[in-house]
Amino acid sequence: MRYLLACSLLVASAALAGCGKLKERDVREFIDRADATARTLYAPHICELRGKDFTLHLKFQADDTRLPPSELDINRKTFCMEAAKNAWLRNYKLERKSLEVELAADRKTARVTAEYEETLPYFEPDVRPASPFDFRQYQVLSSRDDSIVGLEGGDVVFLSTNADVQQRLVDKHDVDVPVVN
Amino acid sequence: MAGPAMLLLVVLAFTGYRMMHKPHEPPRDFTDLELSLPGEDGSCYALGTTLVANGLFGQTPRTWKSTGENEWQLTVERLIQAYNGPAREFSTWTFEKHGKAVELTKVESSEGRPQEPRAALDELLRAPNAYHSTPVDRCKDPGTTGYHFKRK
Repeated sequence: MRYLLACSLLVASAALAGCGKLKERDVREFIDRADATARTLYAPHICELRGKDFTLHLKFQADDTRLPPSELDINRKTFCMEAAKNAWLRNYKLERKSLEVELAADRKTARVTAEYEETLPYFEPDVRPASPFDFRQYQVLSSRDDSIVGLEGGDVVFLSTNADVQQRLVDKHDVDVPVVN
Repeated sequence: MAGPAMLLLVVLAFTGYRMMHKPHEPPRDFTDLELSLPGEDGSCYALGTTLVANGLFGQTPRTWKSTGENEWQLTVERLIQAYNGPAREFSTWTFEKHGKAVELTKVESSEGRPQEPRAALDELLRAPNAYHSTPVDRCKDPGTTGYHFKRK
């Protein structure tokens, strides 16, 4: 009886230890879910997928290549606030072009490299739009995201993202972007 | 015997948890102090009142950090859209408790934002003066004055 109990405890411990480790399939499913969530533009759900100490490093090259790129670091709070601002948008498209997953040796984290093309309205910085449809151009953002994902409270979350973004402006009639919300 | 021992363990664990987890925001008796500049009259507004008048409450992104026994740092930030892309705009204010006041002693901020404590405080005090926010008890007497204080 004691032997059986000891065996059961051993099996349970091994299972628990396994629970804290990532599998490539879990990470790929998480990225699919994160992309689907991003397409809803619903900030609370987008935010939930970021860890409590999430940081974003962004390098952004504007369409006008004479301008120097902007580069910044923001924390989770600011990221979530910006996500909430995007809830106002009505036209949005996100396409993933590639995805690579590399598990860490201890399988507690994984490095995810993905390329995206994101299309959304472009509002000039000094113009206050009258409505979400009050724009002349779309901005097509081609990005290469290098993220670290890991487990937090049993859920897979983004721990950090390093995004290199290139903006391209196109006439609003030249591209077809779905209406969301 | 097992009962009291378990109770003691729970109490010790709770005390340890409380000791190890520092508060994320300054206590009320810190934010209730009158905001001022070193060497100046008080502003007549409590730090907490000034922050609320500036919209720095609720879900507004802000980070408090304890940097000393009676010293707290507050960072607020947002992204602004510029022609070359998003830019981070931030201000970090250091507040130190001195007697019955809390002094704004240091400022760090992004380009275009006030860089000195005096300029930063002048900007922070615009909102409570414009809204005629509730002053601290010291300034309820009509004869008292305060730094930039405009009586209703």
